[in-house]
Amino acid sequence: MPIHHLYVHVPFCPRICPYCCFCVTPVTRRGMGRFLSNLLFEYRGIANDLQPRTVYFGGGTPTALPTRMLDELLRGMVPSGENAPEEVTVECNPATLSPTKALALRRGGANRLSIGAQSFDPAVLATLGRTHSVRVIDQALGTARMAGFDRINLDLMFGVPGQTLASWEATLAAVLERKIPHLSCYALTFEEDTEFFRRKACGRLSQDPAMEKKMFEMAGMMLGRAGYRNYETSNHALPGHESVHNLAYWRGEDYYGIGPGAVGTVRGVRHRNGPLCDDDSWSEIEREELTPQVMAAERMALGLRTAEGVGETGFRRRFGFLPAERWQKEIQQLRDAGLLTESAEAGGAGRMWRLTDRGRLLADEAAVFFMNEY
Amino acid sequence: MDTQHIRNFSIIAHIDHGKTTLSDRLLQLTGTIEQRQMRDQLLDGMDLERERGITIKAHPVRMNYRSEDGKDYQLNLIDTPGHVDFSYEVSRSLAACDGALLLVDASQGVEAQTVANLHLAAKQNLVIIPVINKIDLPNADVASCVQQIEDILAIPRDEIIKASGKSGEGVKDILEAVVRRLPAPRQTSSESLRALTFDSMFDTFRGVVIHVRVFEGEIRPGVIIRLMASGNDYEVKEVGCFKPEPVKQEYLGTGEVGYVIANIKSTSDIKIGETVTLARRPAAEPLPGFQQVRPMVFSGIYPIDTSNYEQLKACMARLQLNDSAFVYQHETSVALGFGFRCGFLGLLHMEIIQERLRREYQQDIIATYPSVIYRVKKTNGEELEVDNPVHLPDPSVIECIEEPVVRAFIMIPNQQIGDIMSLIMDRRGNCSHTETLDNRRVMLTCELPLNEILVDFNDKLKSISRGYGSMDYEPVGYVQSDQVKLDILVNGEPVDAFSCIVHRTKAESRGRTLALRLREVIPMQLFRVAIQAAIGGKIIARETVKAMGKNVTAKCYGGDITRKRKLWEKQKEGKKRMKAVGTVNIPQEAFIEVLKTN
Ligand SMILES: Nc1nc2c(ncn2[C@@H]2O[C@H](COP(=O)(O)OP(=O)(O)O)[C@@H](O)[C@H]2O)c(=O)[nH]1
Ligand code: SF4
Ligand SMILES: [Mg+2]
Repeated sequence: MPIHHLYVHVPFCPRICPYCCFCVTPVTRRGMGRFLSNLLFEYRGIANDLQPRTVYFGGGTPTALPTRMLDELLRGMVPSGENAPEEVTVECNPATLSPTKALALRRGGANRLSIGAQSFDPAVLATLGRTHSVRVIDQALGTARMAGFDRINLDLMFGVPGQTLASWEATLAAVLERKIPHLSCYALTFEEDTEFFRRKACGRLSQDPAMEKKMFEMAGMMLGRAGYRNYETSNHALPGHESVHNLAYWRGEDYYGIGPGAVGTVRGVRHRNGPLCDDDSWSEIEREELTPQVMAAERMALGLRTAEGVGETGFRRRFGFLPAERWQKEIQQLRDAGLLTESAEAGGAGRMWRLTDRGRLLADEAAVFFMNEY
Repeated sequence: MDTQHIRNFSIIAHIDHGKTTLSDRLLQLTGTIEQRQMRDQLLDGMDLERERGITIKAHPVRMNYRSEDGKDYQLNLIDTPGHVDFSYEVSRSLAACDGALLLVDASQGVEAQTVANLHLAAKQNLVIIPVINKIDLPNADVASCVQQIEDILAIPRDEIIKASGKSGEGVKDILEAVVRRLPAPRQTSSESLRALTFDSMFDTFRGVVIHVRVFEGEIRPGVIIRLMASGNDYEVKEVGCFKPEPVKQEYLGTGEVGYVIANIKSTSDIKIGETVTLARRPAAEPLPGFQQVRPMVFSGIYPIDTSNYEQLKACMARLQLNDSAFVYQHETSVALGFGFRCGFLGLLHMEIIQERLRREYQQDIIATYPSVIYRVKKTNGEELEVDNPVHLPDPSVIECIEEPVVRAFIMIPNQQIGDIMSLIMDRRGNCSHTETLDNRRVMLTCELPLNEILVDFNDKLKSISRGYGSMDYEPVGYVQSDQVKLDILVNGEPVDAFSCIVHRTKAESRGRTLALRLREVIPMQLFRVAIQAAIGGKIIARETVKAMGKNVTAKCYGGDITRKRKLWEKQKEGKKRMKAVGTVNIPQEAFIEVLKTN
C-alpha cells in the first residue's frame, strides 16, 4: 500500500524568531534554487511509493520562496485532477503572503493556509520578536480569502512573558470576530539552543505555569462556546475544518517527510534528515526501527491527545492485543486520578478511552503511563 | 619456635595517625616483604578501606626479626581497625596479643580514638609502647605530644619512642622495644590444646579460614579439633601464617598466631572468641575469650526495585561471610516491600556496610532511619527489646522505656567549646569532665543517648570545629527515657519507613520539620498529597503537595514524536526509581531526607 501523507520542509524564514527551535535558516536568494532542485530530487525518490491524500508544506516559511519557485514546488509535488489530494496546507507568515503568492498557491493545488499570526496584541508580538502588526495579519487574511482559501489556520501563542489574561482573551475575541475556522494555540516553550532559553536561564525571562493553565482553559472555554471542537490538545476547529494531515500523525498513520530536518515514519521505520548544509543539500542522519511495543506506546500517547481518543478495536487490529491487556493498571490509575474516561466505541464493538478536561492539561503526564520499561 | 622468642602485638591509633604506614615499614624492615613488592598501604585490602583510610578487617602478619641481642624473634602483628565502632574487632584482636603500640601523630596530638583505644587495651592488661609518629612533619610538636601522653594517658614520658613511619626514623627502636618490653607468651606444660579464634574469613576455594592464637599446646594438620562452644569436631587440613600472604606451616605452637583450615563450611558455624581444643583430649576449661558484642544500631535495608530482593539477599550473605559482626534478617515494610533488618556495631559500621552494598555490590538500596535497641517494660510486666519503631507497642501498654547511653570522648579546639557544649545539650547529653589537652584543644567526656548521635552528630561536630574535632564513644548502659513514636502519614496511610522513636521533647519539632522536608522532596503528583506527622495518633503537623496542574507540551507533530517519546520514557524511568506508597510516588531522596534532623 502506498503512503498517503507527505510533509515537505522549507527551512527559510525572513528573520529567525528568538524562541524558534525548528530547522530554519535566514532567507538568502542565493541557494534557494539549489535547495529546490535537491528537494525535487528527494521527492522523486519516494514518488512511486506515494499516493498523497494530504501534503503539508511547513517550515520555516514556505512563502519565503519567490513565487516562481513556489509554482515549481507545488507543480512538482501536488498531483492534480482526480489524484488531487484532499488537503494541501502551506504555512506562511502574515508578512510574506502577497496576493501573487496566494494565487500561485491556489493554482498549485493548495487548499489550506496556516498563518503564523501568534497574537493580536502588539506588545506580545514585540516580545516574540515578530515584525508584523495586527493590520498585516488582517491583510494576509484578506489576501487568503480573496485567493479562495476558506480553510485557514492561525497559530496563536500564550504563556508569553508579560502577556496578561486580558490580552489573551482579547486575542481570542479577535479571532472569533474574524471567524477563523481553525486555531492552533500553543504555550510558549523554552527549547534548548534558543535565544529565549538562554534568556530564561539567566533570569531575564520567566514562566508562569499557573497562568499558562488559566490561558489553556480560557481558550478551551471561549472557543468551545463558539462552536469549536478542541480536537487535539492544542488544536481547535469548527466542524469539518480539522487538519487531516495532522490527524494522521496522531492516529499513527505513515507519512513521508522530505527536506532538511524533516522526519518521516514509513512501515515501522522513522527516518530523519539532517539540517541544511552550506551547499544547500542535506542527508538522512537517523533511522530508527520502531518496535511494535514502541509503536503501540506512541499510539496511546498520541491518540489520547485527540478528542476522538483511542478505540480498542482499531488498536487490536493493528497491534494484535488490547490496550487493557498491557496497561490495565495504568488505565485504572489514570481513571482514578480523573484524567481518563472509558466509554463504548461507536457501534458498541469495544471500549475506548479519552482524556478528560483535566487529562488534557496533563497529557504528557498521561503519556508517561504508556511508555515501555527497559 | 620456643615461646621466649615470640611477640604478639597490635598497633592502636586514631585514624590517620599512621598505623598502616608504620605496619608497612615494619614488614619492610624485617624483610617480610621485599622492597619491590612494597606498595603503599599493603594491609588495607578493600578499596573502601583505602579510600576512607580505615582498616576494617584485621589481618595478622608474621615477621621474623633478628634483634640487637643477636637472637631471632617471631613477631606477630595483628592489625586492628582504628575506630571504636569496631571495638569488637579491636578487642578480639587485642585478646590475641600481649602488647600494643600506641601511635600518636606528632602534628595532631592525642585524639578521641587514641583515648578510646587505650581504654580497650588497658581492659586486656596489655603492655603499651607509646610512639609519637610522623616526627618528620614540619609541624610536628613532639614536646606537646609528650605532655599530652603523660597528662591524659598517664604514661611516663621516658617510655615514649619518637618515630616516623614515612622516613623510617625510630622504626628500629620500635622493633627493639617490642622484643624487650613486651612479654613473651606464657609457656605452659599442658598436654591439650587451647587456641583462641579471633577472626574468620571465607575463602571461596578453601572454605572457612579461622585466625587463631595458640595459648596452650599445638595444632597440626590431620588432628581433629573441637570448637568448645558448639562441641563440633573438624579435621584440620592446613595450618599456616600470613607473611602477609598465607604460608603453610607444619604446626602452630604455643604462643603462635596463624590460620587454621578445617572443613568448616560456613562462618556461621564458628563463634568468634571461642576456644579450639583437641577432640581426643579436650581441655577442661575454655579460654576466657572476650565479651561478645551485640549490634547496637539497626536499620532497614531495602532494594529500590523490589524484584532485586533475592539479589540483595545474596549480597547480604556474602558480606556476612567476612563480617560476622554484621547481622541481618528478613523484614517486610508496608512502604518498601521485602527487605532486611540489619544490625551494626555502630555508625561507621553501618555506613560502611551500606556503602559496600552500593559500591562493591552495585545494589540500589534504601536504608531506613537507624534505630537503637530500646528496652520496653509493659504494664503487664513483660519486657521486650525494640529495634524497629514499627514494633513499639501501643503507648497505653507501655510502663516505661529505656534507651542506651554512651560515653563519648570529644576533642575540640578551645574556641568551639561553647558551641559543642550546646550541641551536646541539644542532644540531651551532659559533660562529666573537660580536660585541657594543650593550649589549643580540650577533651570533653560526656554521656549521650546513642540515638542522638546516630545520624548527624559527627557531621555537626566536624562542621562546628571546622574539621578539627574528633569523637569516639563506648557504650555504658541503659537509662529510662520518655520516648514516643513519631509517624508520618502520606495521604492518610502511615509510611512505616518514615517512623521513628524520638524523645518526647523533640517529637513535635521533628515531626514538623519532617513534614516540611517531605513536602519539598515529594514531587507533584496527579493527586494532591497530604503529609502528616502524628504522635500517638494525634496529628501535629500537616503539609500538602499540590496536585500537578499542567504538563502538556504544546506541539506534537510528526517531527516531534521521537523527541517527545524519549522524554516520556525518561520520566518513566524516573518514576520507576521511586517507591510507590499507595498511589503516591515517593522519590529516594525522601528516604534520605528523613535521615537528616535539622
Ligand atoms: N609525614 C608523614 N606522613 C605519614 C607518616 N605516616 C603516615 N603518614 C601519612 O598519614 C596518612 C595516614 O596514614 P595511614 O598509615 O593510612 O594511617 P592509618 O589510618 O592510621 O592507617 C597518609 O597520608 C600517610 O601517608 C609519617 O611518619 N610521616
Ligand atoms: S517564523 Fe516560525 S519557523 Fe520561522 S523562525 Fe519564526 S518560529 Fe521559526
Ligand atoms: Mg590504615
